[in-house]
Amino acid sequence: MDMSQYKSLFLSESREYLKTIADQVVALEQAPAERSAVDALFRGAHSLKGMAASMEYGDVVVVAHSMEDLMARVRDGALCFEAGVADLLLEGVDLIDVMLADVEADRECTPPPGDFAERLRGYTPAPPKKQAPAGEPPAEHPAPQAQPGGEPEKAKEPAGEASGTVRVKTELLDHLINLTGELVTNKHRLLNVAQEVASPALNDAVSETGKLLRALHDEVMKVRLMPFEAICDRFQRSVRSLAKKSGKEINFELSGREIGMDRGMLEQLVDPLNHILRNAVDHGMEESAERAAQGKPPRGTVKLSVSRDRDRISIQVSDDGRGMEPQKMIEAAVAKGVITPEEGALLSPRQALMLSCIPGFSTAKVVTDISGRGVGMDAVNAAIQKLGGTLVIESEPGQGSTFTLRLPMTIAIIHALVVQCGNVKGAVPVTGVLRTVELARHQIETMGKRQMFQLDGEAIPLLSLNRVLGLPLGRFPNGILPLFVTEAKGRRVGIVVDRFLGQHELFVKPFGRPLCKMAGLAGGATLGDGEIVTILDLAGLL
Amino acid sequence: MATTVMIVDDSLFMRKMLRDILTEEGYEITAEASDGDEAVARYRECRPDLVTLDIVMPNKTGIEALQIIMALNPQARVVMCSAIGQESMTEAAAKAGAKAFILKPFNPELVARTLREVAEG
Amino acid sequence: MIPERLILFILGGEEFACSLQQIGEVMEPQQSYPFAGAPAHYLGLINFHGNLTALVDLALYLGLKSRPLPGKLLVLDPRLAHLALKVDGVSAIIASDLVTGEEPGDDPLTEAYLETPRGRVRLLQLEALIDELENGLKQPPARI
Repeated sequence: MDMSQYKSLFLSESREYLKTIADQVVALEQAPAERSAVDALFRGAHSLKGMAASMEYGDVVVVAHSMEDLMARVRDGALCFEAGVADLLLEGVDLIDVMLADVEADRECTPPPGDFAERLRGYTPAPPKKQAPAGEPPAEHPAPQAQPGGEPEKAKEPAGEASGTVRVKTELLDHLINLTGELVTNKHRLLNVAQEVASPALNDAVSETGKLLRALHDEVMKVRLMPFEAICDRFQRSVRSLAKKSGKEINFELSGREIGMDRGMLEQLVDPLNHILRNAVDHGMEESAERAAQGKPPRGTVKLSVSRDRDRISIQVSDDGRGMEPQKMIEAAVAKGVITPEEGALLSPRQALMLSCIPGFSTAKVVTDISGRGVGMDAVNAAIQKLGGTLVIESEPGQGSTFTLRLPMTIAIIHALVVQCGNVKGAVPVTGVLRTVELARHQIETMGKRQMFQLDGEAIPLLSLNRVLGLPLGRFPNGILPLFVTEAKGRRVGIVVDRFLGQHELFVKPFGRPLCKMAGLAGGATLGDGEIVTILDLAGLL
Repeated sequence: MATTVMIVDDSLFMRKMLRDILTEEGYEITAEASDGDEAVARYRECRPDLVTLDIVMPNKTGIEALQIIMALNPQARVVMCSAIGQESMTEAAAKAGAKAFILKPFNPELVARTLREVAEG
Repeated sequence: MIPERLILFILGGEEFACSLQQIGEVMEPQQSYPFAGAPAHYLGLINFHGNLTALVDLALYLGLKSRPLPGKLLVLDPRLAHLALKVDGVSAIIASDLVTGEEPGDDPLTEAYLETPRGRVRLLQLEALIDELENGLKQPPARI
């Protein structure tokens, strides 16, 4: 029998089982006696084994089989579900995940470490724990940790092909949204024509088409929505292993996992959120002893909560750790030469906290092995802005910090302010525009080398977008400078352009090679008349 | 008229494989179910000539589903699907009225022969 | 390995070639739109079947003397890159069995020099060209 035809189904279903296993491991850590989770875990490993055996992927079979046997011991009461079991199962999940990637790429399978099966087979429960430190709830007693988000889920199975559902390839979904976007662009073209010919009948027809398109767009977007849950297990696992590594005791609470978001967006949120969580565990959280000395519960809490407010998604990461001191942030930034002392003096506490988003800025005294890797807060901020979102940092020294991300539910279609600079047109997502101002030349004040203007009692520096983009400077013959106010380096800046061309509904297309490598561009879009504009990534530019 | 079959397995992958093997052999797949409850419900609706029933499933195991199906129709022809290592289950299934067993991973010829034998009674 | 079929084109008086398989379409010049912050060899963006495609003046990039437009646009297969190359003209499409001689190239962009019925041509390595263009964009744009 030719099994190659089943490969993609094998891969997608196996990955669902892996996710189920990882989810249930985490759920069981919160409530080790939950029968349905034990059963689901066992079934997950069992099904994986059966599928891999059919495909003749022997290494996957070996790993899945030993996981199944280990879970059978738990199910039959021979073994308690405890941290050691969880570690082994998650290790197995990671091993299989790597092997699946090999299968997918038609590579030779990375063999599992020879002793993995042996370790599972020979696993014996750890000796009883030594007396827990005073004030800490005994580990066997999970009640104080129980919270809405952390409750064991009702054991879930990978979504099968229940009646009324179909499986669709993700490329097809991407294609659908592309076509819808093209239609929206075309509607604007029609609108332009309708205005030229001044035909009320045509206008009506186009506006009706516009309504239908909006409905179509909403439906297509709904199809692309995936629950936040799809990426949750990674966070649970990374917080867990990070806490373990740093020897801190941390309670991780998750809520809002059912909230739906565009799948493309979810993928791009994994790294930024992981980074924020890492920071929270690694820098934000104190050691138990330090916490106890301050009268805090020795076990710290990190919360990740997702909520929806109409068409915006809000994601909050908060911790009850040591918090950040704005004054210290300013001192560090000045010491590093990121800002001048004068600039530092002008910053509000909230603005000071945003200093961590400036490239090259890190308040950690020593870059530790954990948070030192990968992206910094500047990259986090840039990634969020690229998605059309915003980041706000709040912190209370001694009480903890909260990072709030606000994002559109979907990414493909954005509202943007289109501006002209020299011969170039660019679009700025309105989420990055605090307001627009038409400034008379006499309102400009010169302070040292900088030009500023007053807005709501604050002196705001001016920057020319032409200069940033390397274009000839604008002339402004009528003495009026159009500018928009945005936030950069934690404070407001006025960005002067040649002309505003209005607000547009744009269907954003990512760039392919080579432009995808260009800093400062977040993609492009076609205007109603067929003209192409680039979407400016202000965080990357400024 | 083609012999009708209902395939019960919680894995879509396994159902697809069985469906392909059986369709090739000329069977008509009239129903599929992905757990024990669904198996019973679908059996009531379509009364297929044959059922292939997986053992390890959520919401009622294959054994539990088998008992109900046999109660609904003592003449039901049910073939259990089980993986190596579940020998203890096969005894319970035989007692409950299963007509035969097929082992995972499926061997197409063996699956075809077993089902033919069960269908011809 | 010489590609099975080659497209021959002219650039600053020189004869070039690349694999026909990597070219999605040869187009007449069309309206392009300038974009911000790009090096001078980028003429702008064009819309190629819905893909926003960067248009590069290949002669300028290679330091050759470009002839003024019209010329032709070689649009790369969108699976490789969203890139179109402006060249002076396309001269022929030939099969590899017409190549009578081959000499190794002397820079990363030149895969080989080939002897063809149209004389000696420089076989461009498009993958390397895309890589180079990408690397050239990685530096942040002009700072304030």
